[in-house]
Amino acid sequence: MVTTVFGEDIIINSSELRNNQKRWFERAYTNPITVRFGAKHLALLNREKVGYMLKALVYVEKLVNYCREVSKGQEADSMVFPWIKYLNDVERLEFYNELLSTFNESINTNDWSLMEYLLNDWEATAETQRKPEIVKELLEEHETKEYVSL
Amino acid sequence: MSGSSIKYKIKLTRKQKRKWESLKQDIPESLEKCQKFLEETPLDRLKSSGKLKKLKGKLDGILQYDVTDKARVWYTVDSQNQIVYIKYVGPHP
Repeated sequence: MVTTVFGEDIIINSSELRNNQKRWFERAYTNPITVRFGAKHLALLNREKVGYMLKALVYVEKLVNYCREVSKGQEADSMVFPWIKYLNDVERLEFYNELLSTFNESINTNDWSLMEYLLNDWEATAETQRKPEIVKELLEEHETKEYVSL
Repeated sequence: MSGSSIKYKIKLTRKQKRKWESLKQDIPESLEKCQKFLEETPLDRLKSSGKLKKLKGKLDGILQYDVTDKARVWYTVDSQNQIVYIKYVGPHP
C-alpha cells in the first residue's frame, strides 16, 4: 500500500501515467503525483518547487546546527560558519539575530536568495576583518581634496 | 571607457589609484568590468553576478566587489552626488 507523502499528492500507477501523460504532467505542475512502478514509488514534482525545498533543507540544517553551537556557547569556534571567529561579540549577536529574521522572511516569501546574500555579506565582512590593515584603511576618513578621479 | 550609461563618478586617493593602475596591468578585463559596474550600477546586486557584497557590523556602509578570486575593491557610494569612493584596492584577505 502506498500512502501519500506530501499530504496532497495523487497516487497513480505507471500504466495510468503512460496512457494520460499530458494530463498527469500538467497536474504535476501544481500538485505532486506519486507513480507506482512495481514495488518502487516515484514522484513527479514541479522542478522549481523542488529547488525551494532543497534550498530550505540546506539552510534549515545550517540554522539548526548553528543554533546548537550558540546554545552551547561554541559559536566562536563554529564549524557551521568557520569565519565567525573574525567577528566581535556584538557582531556575532547581530549576525545571529539577522540569521533568524532572514530565515523567517525566506520561509514566508520562498526567496532563498535573501539567506544567500546575508551569509555572503557576513562572510565577506569577517574575511575583511581578518586584515586589520585593510579595516584601518576602510574606516579612515579622507578630505574631499585628497580624492582624484579614476 | 565609452559611457552613455555612466551614472557615477569614481574617485579614489592617489595611493589607491596607483594600486588600481598596477592591478590593471595584471587583470585588465576584470578590472574594466569592475569599473563599468561601479560607474553604472554600484549598488545593484542582481547586476553584479554575485560579485557585490554589502559589509556589516562596524563596516556597515562599505561595499565589496570581487574583481577575481584573488582581487577585491572596497568602496562607498554617495548616492546624492552620484560618486563612488574607492576605499581600498587589494588582494582577497
